[in-house]
Amino acid sequence: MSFAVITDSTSDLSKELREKYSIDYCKMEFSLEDKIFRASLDWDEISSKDFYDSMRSGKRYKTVQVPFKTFDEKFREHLSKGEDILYIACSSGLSGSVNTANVLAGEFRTDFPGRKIICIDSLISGLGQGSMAIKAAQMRDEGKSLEDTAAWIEDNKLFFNQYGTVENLDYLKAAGRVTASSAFFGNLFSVKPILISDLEGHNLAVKKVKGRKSSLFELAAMTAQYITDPLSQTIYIGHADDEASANVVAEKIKELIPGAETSLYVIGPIVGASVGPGTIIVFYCGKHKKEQLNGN
Amino acid sequence: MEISVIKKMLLAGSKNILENKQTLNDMNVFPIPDGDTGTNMDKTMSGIVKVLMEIGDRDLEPEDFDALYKSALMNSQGNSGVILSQWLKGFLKALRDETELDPGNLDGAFISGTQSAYSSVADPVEGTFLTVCREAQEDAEDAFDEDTTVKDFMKNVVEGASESLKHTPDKLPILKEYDVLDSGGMGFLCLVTGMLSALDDDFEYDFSEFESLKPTFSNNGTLGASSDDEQFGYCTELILKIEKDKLASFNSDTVRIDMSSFGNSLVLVQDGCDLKIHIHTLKPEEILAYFHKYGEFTKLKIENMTVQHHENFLTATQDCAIVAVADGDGMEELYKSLGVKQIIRGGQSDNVSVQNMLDACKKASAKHVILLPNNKNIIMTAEKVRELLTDSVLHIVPTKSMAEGYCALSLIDPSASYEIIEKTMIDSIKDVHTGFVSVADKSGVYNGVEVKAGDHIGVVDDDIIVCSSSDAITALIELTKHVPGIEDIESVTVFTSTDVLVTHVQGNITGIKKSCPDAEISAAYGGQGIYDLVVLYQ
Repeated sequence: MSFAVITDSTSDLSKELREKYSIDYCKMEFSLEDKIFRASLDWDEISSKDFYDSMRSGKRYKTVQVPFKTFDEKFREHLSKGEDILYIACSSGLSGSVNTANVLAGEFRTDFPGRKIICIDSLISGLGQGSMAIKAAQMRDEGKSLEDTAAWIEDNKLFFNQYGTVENLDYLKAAGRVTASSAFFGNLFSVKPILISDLEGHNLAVKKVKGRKSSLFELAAMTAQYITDPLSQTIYIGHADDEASANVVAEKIKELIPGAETSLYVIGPIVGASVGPGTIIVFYCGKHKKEQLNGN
Repeated sequence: MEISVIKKMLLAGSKNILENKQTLNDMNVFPIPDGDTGTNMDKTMSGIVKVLMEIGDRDLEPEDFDALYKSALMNSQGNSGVILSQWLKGFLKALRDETELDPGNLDGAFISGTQSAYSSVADPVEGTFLTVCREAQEDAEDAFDEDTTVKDFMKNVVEGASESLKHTPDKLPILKEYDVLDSGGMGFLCLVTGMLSALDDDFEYDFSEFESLKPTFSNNGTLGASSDDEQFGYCTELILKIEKDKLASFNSDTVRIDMSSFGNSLVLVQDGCDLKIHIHTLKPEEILAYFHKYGEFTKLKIENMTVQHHENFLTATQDCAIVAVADGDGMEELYKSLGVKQIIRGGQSDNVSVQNMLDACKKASAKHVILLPNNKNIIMTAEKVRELLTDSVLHIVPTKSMAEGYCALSLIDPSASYEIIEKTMIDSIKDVHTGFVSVADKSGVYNGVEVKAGDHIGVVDDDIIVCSSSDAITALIELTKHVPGIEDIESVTVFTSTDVLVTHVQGNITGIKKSCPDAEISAAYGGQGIYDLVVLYQ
C-alpha cells in the first residue's frame, strides 16, 4: 500500500466500510462525569442504544478531540511500516484535531525523514468526511499518488454536502457546534432547524421549519435540489437512534429521485453527543457548498 | 535568582489553574472549541507537574526544560490545551540554557511564549489567550526599568493580563454577545497569578493536590516544532472597469489559470469592460495588484472568512427591526428571545394607541420596521402609524393573535434582509389557527353554544366553539377537536396565563393528542391577561 488513509471518530465509517476500503481511524474520546470512553465507531464500550437512551434521560456527554498520544501512536504505527499518511480530519470548524495532527506532522519530519504526512481539513464531519476518506482510498487503490489524491480531495471537498435536522436544539447549543445568532435560536417550540455545513465547516442553521415531519421532508427536498449525479453515488442517511425517521427521509428521497441508492447508519458517539438523539443527517456529493448558502 | 525558581513558578501556576478549573469550564460559550477550557488547561499543566515530580528536589538542568514542555504537549487536550502547551514551549525554551532568572531573560521568555503560541494557531483570533499573553508581556515590558525585580516583573505581567482580559469582549464579539470574558485568557491569568505567588516566601513546594498523577511519564519521540501548514483566507470580491485599450490584452482564460495559483473558489464574470471577481485567497494584496494593471476598481470587498460569522452577529438588525404588540411578561420575553427589538405592551383589554405604536417604531430606529399587531383590532392603528412614520419604512405583517406573532417570529432568521423576513412571516401564518380559552363573564347563547358566566369557553379563530363547566384544560381538549384540519397539525403550542397552567397542560398531553396524534405539544408561560390559554395550531 503506497499510503495509509486515516480518518477519525467523526467520520462515522462502519467497520464494514473501513475494512472494505482499508481505512484506519484515530479515536476521539467522550466522557460522562468522570468516566472516559474511547470513541469507537463499533460501539465497543457502550452500545448505541444505551448511549442515546442515556442522553434522552438527561445525560450530557463531553467530547474531546483526538488526543495527541493517539495520533502519535497511530501515525507512528503506519510510518514505521513504511507508509505515508493521508489524514482526513474532522472539520476544523468543529474540532481542533486537524491542528493537533499538523503539529505532530511537523514533529515527524525529523523522526521519519522521507515519509510524508498530509492532513486535510475536511470542513465537514459524519459520512461527508467518511465519503472523502472512501474516495481517497479508492484513488489510492487505483494507483494514484499521495499528492494527487490529496490535491483532488482539496479541490473537491466543498462538494461534499450535508443536510441535517435535530429533534432538540439544546444539544447543539450546549456543545457550541452550530452557527447562528442567539435570536435565531430563541425560545422555540416544535420548530426544527435545517443545518448545512458551511464554507468554513461549521454547522450553519439555514432555515427553520414547522414540525418534525416537515423537517424530514425538507431534507429530502434539499437533497433532490442540490445533488449532482444522483444515480452514481450512495446517499448516506445517518440517524441518532431514530431509524423510523431515517426511513421516512429515504423513502421521500427515492420518491423524488427514482432509482437513488440510500444507506442508513447510526450516527457515531462524537457527532451524536453534539447533535442529540433523533438527529437525522443526509450526506451526498452535490453542488458547491456556496450554492447551498446562496440558495437558502 | 536561581533558575530553579521556575520549578516553583510552574507548580504554583498549575495549582492555580487546578483551583480555577470549574470557573474556567463555566466560562465556555458557543462556539466553543473542543472540550472545556479549564479541564483542557489543567490536563496540559498536569504534564508539567508529572515532570516536576520526577525532578524532585534537585536543580533544573537544560534537558529538564525540554522534558517539561514536551510533557505539556503530550498531555495537552483541546485547542486551549494545545495553545497553552505551545506557550509553555516558547517560554521554557528561552530559559533552557540560563543559570539565573532575571527580569530581562524572564521578559524574553514571555516574548518567546507569545510567539510560540501565535505560531501554533493557523488563524490567530484576537480577544483570546493569544491576546492576553501578548498584552501581559507588553505591559510588563513597558513598566520595565533598572529597579525592576523578577517579582515586580511578574506583578506587572499579572496586572497586564488582568487588564487585557477585561477587554477581550471588545475584540471578540461573541464574548460580548454572551457577556463573558475569554476563558482561555482567564486561564493565562490564573497561570501567571500562580507563578507570581511562588515568589512569596511562604510558598510551599509540595504536590499534595496532585497525588493522582502517577509519575509514569515516558518521552517517546522528539516533539517541539510546530507546523503552520493549515490555510485559511480572505474572501475577496472586486468589480473592475477594464480600460478600453487594455481590453484586447485581457484574456479571461489566462486570468483563470493565473488565479488558480492565488487561491480557490474563483468566480469570474466578464461583461464587456465590466469584470467581477470573487476568490478566496491568503494574499488579497496580490489579487489587487494583478487586476489593477487592467483598470480601476469600482468596488472592493475583502473579508476575513473566519471572523465573518462573528461580525454578522453585530450587524444583524441595523437595517431592519421588528416591533410587536404583546401582553404578558412571558410573551415579552419569548418575543425578545426571537429578535423583537421593541415591545408595545397591550392586548385585548388594553388597546394600543397610535402614539405608543409610533413611539415604539421610532425607538426601533431602523430603515425598515416590521410590525406585528397581533390583534385584528390593532391592524388599523398600525396603518395610521405607517402614515406618520417618516424615518422608517413600515411593513405590517397582519398577525391576528400573539400566537400568530410567535409563529411568524419562530421561523425567521433575524439577521436576514427585511424582504426575506417579511415574506417568511407572511407565508408562515397562512395555515395556522389560534385557539383561546377564557372565562365567560356573561351567560347567553353564542354561535349556537350555550355559555354560562364563570364557565371556560374555547374559541377558534374568533368563533366560540365549546363551553366547559370544569376547567381550562378540559376546554382546551374539547376545543382542539374542532380546529380545522386538526388531524394534519404538526404542532400545538400553548401559552398560559400562569405558571401552574404550564404544568397542567404538560400533564394532559395525551388528552390533547387524541385529536392530533402526530403533533408535538409544548406549553410556555405567557403571562397574558384575559385568556387563560392562547394556543397556536400549525
